[in-house]
Amino acid sequence: MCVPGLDPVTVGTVMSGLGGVAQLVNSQRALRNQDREVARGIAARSLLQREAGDRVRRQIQEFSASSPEAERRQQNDAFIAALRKAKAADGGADFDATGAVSDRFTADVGQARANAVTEGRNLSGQLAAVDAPGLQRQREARGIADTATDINMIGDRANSLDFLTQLRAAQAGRTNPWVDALGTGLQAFGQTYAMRAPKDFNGLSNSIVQGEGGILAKRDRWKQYLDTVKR
Amino acid sequence: MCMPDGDKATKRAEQAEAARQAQISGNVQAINRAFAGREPQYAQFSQALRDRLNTQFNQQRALATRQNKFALAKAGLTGGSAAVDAGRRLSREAQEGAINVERQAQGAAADLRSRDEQTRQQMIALAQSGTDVGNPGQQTANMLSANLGSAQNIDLANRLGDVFGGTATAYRNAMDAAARRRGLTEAQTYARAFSRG
Repeated sequence: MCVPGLDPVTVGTVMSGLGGVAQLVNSQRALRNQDREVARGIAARSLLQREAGDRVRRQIQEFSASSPEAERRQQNDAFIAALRKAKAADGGADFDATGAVSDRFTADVGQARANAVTEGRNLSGQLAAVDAPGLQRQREARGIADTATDINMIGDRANSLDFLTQLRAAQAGRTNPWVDALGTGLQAFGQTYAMRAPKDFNGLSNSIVQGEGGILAKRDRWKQYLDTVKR
Repeated sequence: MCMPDGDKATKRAEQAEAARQAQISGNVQAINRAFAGREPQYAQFSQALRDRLNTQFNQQRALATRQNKFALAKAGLTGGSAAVDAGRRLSREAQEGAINVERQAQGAAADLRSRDEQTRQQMIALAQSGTDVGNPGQQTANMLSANLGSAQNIDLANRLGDVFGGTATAYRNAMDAAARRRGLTEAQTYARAFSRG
């Protein structure tokens, strides 16, 4: 089969080239798709990382603003409440005296009771101030543990995303099999077509085939030479 | 002009890495600033513990001084060399007690600081894991839950113990001796009443 008026070598070369270009374009397109998927995955992962970073930053802000004051006040209130309850329960029995007592004793008991209240308040304040930093750190540790848990959950999402990105990239990296087949076919056809050219010169006007230096002229000269030799 | 393949992903990866590093650096700096600002808290805690222990110490000293005085008087030793010895012992115990109070206050603040340092390291690990999401977060959570148990539960306020143990023993001995003497006297009186002579 020949295309009338066209050089088979040229046609074959063009067809083969077209096949090669089709394959190249196909593989380039696949690589671009793969690149786009990977880039999308990286962008999504960056968002997750930013989310995790923001969570850590929030925790740091909480930590920076943290003071033992709230715990101190809470402990102090609890101690004072306990003291009040204890005082209500014993009814001031510590200073009980039976029978008639002197005015001096009564005055001393009053003074001692007042001192006991002051001492109770001081004790409560001191113990609250000593306990508060430890309680504050427990609260902070809980906050940090919560943050770590949140980050783990973000980590799980990131792992799933990585897996999906890998799958998508693998899929996007595949070339179109039809285009590949077409390219291969065109190349094969082109090569075959070009190789057929010397056997069939009908209708060709190429200078390689016809004219003084053409293949036909050479063939004829060879025939003449062989005939001469035979004679 | 055509961009080489893979350029988009590489560019994204470079940008993400730069952002990650910037985030880590920013968070670590913030953590360090937060911990650097805790100095007043250590001083406050140390002072609170010092006040509490001093209160206990002063109460113990007042009691020991009174007991010492009464024990010497009861034994008839006031003004003697035994009273000087007892005074010396009381004074030595008071000095040890005062130093002990200070040691406890400073030691507890140092403990707190050291625990905070551990927390600082954990938070830095968290900041790094937060921008490279994965296992370190779990490790931090485990470390912290272990720390939660040991974070408090140290009975700081009662660390002082019995400062004037020597004086208290002397007082107890004096009271025992006085009780023995009284017992002997009463026994003699009783025996004399029923004696034939």
